[in-house]
Amino acid sequence: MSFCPTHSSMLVPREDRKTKTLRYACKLCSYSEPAQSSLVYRNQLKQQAEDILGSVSSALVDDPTLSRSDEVSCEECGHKTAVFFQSTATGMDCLPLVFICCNCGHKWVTGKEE
Amino acid sequence: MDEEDYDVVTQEDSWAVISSYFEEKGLVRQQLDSFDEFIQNTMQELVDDTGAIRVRPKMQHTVGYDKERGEEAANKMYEVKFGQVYLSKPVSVEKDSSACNIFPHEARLRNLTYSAPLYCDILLNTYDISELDPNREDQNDFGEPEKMEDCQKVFMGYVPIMLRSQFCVLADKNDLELCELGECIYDQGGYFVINGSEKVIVAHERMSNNHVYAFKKKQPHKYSWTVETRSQVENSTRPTSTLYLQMYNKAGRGAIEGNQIRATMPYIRSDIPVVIIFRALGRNDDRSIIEHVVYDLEDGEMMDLFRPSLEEAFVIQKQEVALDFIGKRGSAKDIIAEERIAYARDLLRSEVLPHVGVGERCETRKVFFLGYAVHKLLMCRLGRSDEDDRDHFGKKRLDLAGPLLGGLFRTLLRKLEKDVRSQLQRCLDENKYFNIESAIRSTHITGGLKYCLATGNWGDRANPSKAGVSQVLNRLTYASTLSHLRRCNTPLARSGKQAKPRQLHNTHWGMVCPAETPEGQAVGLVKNLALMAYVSTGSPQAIILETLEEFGTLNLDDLTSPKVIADQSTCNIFVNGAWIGVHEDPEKLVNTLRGSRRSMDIDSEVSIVRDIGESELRIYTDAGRICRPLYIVKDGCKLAIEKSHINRLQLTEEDGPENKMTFMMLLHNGLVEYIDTEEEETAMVAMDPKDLTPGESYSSTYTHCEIHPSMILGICASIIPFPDHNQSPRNTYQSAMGKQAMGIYASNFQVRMDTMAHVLHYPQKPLCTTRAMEFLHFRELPSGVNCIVAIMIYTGYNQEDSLIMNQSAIDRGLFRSSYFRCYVDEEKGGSGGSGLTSERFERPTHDLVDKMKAGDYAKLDDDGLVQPGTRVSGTDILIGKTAPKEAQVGQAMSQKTKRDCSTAMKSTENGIVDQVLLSTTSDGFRFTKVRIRNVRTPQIGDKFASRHGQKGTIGMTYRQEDMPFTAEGVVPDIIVNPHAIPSRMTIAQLVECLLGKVCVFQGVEGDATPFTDVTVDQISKRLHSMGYQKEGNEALYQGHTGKPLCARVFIGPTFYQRLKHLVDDKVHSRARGPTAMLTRQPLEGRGRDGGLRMGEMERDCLITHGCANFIRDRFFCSSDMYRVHLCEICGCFAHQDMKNQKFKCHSSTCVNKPPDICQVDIPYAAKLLFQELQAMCIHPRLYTDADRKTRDNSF
Repeated sequence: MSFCPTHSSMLVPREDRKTKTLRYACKLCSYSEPAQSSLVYRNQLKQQAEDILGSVSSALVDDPTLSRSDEVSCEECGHKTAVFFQSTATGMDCLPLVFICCNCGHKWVTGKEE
Repeated sequence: MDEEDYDVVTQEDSWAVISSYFEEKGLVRQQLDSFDEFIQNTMQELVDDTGAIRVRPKMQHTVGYDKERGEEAANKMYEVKFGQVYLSKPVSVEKDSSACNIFPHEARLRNLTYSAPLYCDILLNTYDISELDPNREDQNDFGEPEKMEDCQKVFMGYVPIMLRSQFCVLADKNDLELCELGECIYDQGGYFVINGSEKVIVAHERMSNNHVYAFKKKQPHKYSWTVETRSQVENSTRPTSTLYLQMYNKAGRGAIEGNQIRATMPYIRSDIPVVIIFRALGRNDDRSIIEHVVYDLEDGEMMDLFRPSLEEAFVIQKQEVALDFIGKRGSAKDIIAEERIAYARDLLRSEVLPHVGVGERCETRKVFFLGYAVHKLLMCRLGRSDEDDRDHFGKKRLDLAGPLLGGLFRTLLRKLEKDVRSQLQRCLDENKYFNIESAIRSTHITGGLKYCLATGNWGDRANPSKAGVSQVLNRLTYASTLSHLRRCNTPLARSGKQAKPRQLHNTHWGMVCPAETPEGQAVGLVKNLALMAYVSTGSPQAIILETLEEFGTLNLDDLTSPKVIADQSTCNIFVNGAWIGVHEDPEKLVNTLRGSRRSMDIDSEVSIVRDIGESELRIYTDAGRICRPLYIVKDGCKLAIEKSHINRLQLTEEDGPENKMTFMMLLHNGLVEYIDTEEEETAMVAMDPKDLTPGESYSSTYTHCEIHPSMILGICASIIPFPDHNQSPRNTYQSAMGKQAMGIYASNFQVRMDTMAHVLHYPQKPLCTTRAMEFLHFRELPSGVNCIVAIMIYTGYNQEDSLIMNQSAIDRGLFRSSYFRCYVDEEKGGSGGSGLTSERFERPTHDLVDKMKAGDYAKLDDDGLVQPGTRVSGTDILIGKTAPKEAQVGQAMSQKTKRDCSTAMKSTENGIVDQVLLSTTSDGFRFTKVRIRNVRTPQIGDKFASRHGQKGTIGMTYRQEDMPFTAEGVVPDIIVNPHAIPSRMTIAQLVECLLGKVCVFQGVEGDATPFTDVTVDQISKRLHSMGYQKEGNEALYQGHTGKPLCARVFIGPTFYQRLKHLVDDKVHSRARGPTAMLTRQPLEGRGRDGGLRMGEMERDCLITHGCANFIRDRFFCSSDMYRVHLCEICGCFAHQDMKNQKFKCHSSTCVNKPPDICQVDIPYAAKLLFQELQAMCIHPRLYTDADRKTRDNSF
């Protein structure tokens, strides 16, 4: 999403009939800018397991109530201990386990669809 | 044992800590602390909040009004200011207005209220405002007062005092002094004495304020998700104002896109698109709104979800327009645009999220908070967060005596203020002298507090907000009293069939007893606090805010860009639900805060919750949070508390007070801390110090350790031996039954005058005790007897939960009890004292007194009271009292000048007059209490129970010679049927019996505390080593024949309780008896010698049997049969002259016709119905024969 430089208002997709291109225009003034991609709207019905990693905080390694495993190995640093928990995010077919390395904070997911 | 092992703190050592906790806190600390907080702080704060009363005289237009003086006075401004409040010791004022200190026991006996007078300094200022600038800066500044009057300690009213609180005379008394004052030495206080009856304020559970809750709506519904925030300013009078946010589903045809978010605000009729509120709060451009809602501008998914809301509000871009939009939907009508905008601005300021701030310049914070709420909604909709759990105990608050009384006091003070204002105005208008002391009417506070405490209807007398807040303290047995003082009620419709709020929640662990809850409609709604649960009293949040500032919290107002919030390493800081700011290094901040709490630099009951997943730090200081102490664990594996501390805890006073450690010192030294329900979610708690051993432990990150797992139980469940061996409902049943057991309910029962009381004659401390009993004083005030119980079948008189009891043991005094009942009366009426018009205690005589009762007046002395020691029974008169008869017009003057209003004994009871008390009430009337004592020996039909929910009634008593006996000659006191065991799975009863047997032979007390390492195998080995069969079975010999019984019988001592349900109080039969006046049907109930109801189901039964004549007998002949005569011509009731056997119908249709009368039997109720119908102009007509010739069908 982008904003009008003068009004800070949300730009809406508009068709430029002359050049037959997609532009983003401000509804309050005449400002418009060319669209970066032709994607206007995206409706994601299913989530990928990796998507949830973004909303997982690395600080979770400090949480004393989470279970820890000594039998994993971090891809980044090779550290053996990691905190893990089951993701509660909805809209997935699997029940992924989220791992966070106790050393470097690297996050990864297991149990994703192959 | 190794030297090293000796230094390790074990579960056993925890009992020293628990002892120190109860030594310091007692079992009703929550009540006392809450009340002390009210008296010490809340009351003064409320008085300070009242503000000044300012009044200006108004010109009058009445005849004789001194206009000149009036004009002069109109230039004056009078001001009344409340200052410091004072509370003196509890006092009672007698009729002759002499005041003396009162002790609770006297209040109980004389039906007085245990209350202390409240005084307040009042400042009366007079200002000359004639030369004041009307446009001055501070409108509340009137310059120097022209006259000042300082009234010191003006009486405001009486405040009931909680017993054993800091303001009670008993607060610092030792056992001897308590005894001399007539108090029970084990009484913990925590209740009030109102008009002589003991009242408890039961804690009320409510949802906590200022939380943002997100709920998913059950589809199909207009909304997909809603978010609500109940907002209330700290310590405010205003009711909570709730802000709801809804996300719409796509609605039918023609609707806009869907997923738009709207808000419902107080006083606004329709919901407002949330973006309009942002604009009304001064955030006009889309970008800044998005920054406050989405935080992370890279998060396309969330921005897409918020887009419909922005598009919906596109037409409104300016703040004024947005305010006007809101104002138009408000309740104010017919106003111009400017007023509308001002109205909306005002509304946003004071009614939307007031906890964030109500003053000016709060808009920034409100935008942030609103953005936070919208963010939460979007997170939930995107499936990134879960719905909130309504039943989470961390989001619940308990309102105890303090907050409840505070709310009440506030309304009463408001009333008083209004009253003073109107009186002041009247005085000034009429140019009279204003006397503040007479203007403050003490009845407002005295009466208001007393009324609410006496009736339990909280709030205004006209429309009480809650009912059942204060209850009469249960005094059946000591445990029931304690349990009542720790009860908690959920004000929820009992009929609601929703199961969730009634269920035990994970978060109840350690806070609420899992076993103790009533059965039936209130199951799960009425809770009882666990032993170590403590309710916070609230502490000021200012200290926390200062500390936060000091340690580098970024204030929201100073935040340059909301983008920082999106950063995962920063943490949002909330104090009591209000968003204060963000912090860059939450880990460090939390450690600092925890550290200062552990050294008591900040209050120990403050809760610090670091929610890592949500990147939030929530701090709570408010009152009503439930918390409990836990051991602190260092480095994930080491208890902070050490053996040396335990040893110092165990020192006695003689060892020197400076060495002795108290629970307070444990808190101070950071060895133990209070953890509330919400903080507990972020703590890793080990169950046992043993679990901390490195290498073997389940977790390496323990932060806390349970003090003892058995502390999760409440008062009643702590009496059960081995509750961890029982099926769970059995513990619940026993928790309910333990409250009905007879025992010694208070050590001062001899001098108490309770309306009803049971006292067990030879109570014993149980053989199998739990460690918690020590704090419940169950050994000192027990409620049962250790009986030899055999579980066997014998003669068949113990079927279906009945039991056989040893008559010889009963004769020796087993389970004998005394029953006390008090009768109360006072000389009412008249103008106080024994005037001519008042009632009088005296012995009524037939020649002077009218309407005397049927009972025996002979047992009365000349003073109208019975002599102690007199045997009384049936309807004997206990208190003779007469009232003067008013001379009635049109009635011949009789010799009898008085009317009888004596008190007779309950017809079904008998006993001996135990004690008679004669005193005066606070109004100076004579007043008496008569206590009757009656010894109750166990008999067939009396109810008994073990401590495992195994109740039964005596089915048969056998003398010793008819009872079975063991080889050693032991004869059981009780024989219970083995069928009571398998389906109920009360294994603990068997274990108790086994351990009891060991204890009897070894002469020790058995430890039956749950969750310890004791096993059944160990117990049976101990028994075996003494030469007994290891399972506790023994060979028994038949009592009648002496022959050995072919089966081995499980026999041993078990603690049994006698329950208050005695046949003597229940037996009832009736042949003929009294009938109701109106319907002539038999009365109902034993007390009135009523009939036994033949109900609908019994009727159904008779119908299926076809015994029509029996039905007729039961429902008609033996009930309200009535004979009437009918006129067969018109169908009306005919006139009857039974003496001359003449019958006649006076209806106009029948007057001149030959009479045709017949006699029928109808129920009196039917006759009554016909007459009532006639009274409303419906004329039912009765005919015995439809085809009779004489019948007049003309109407």
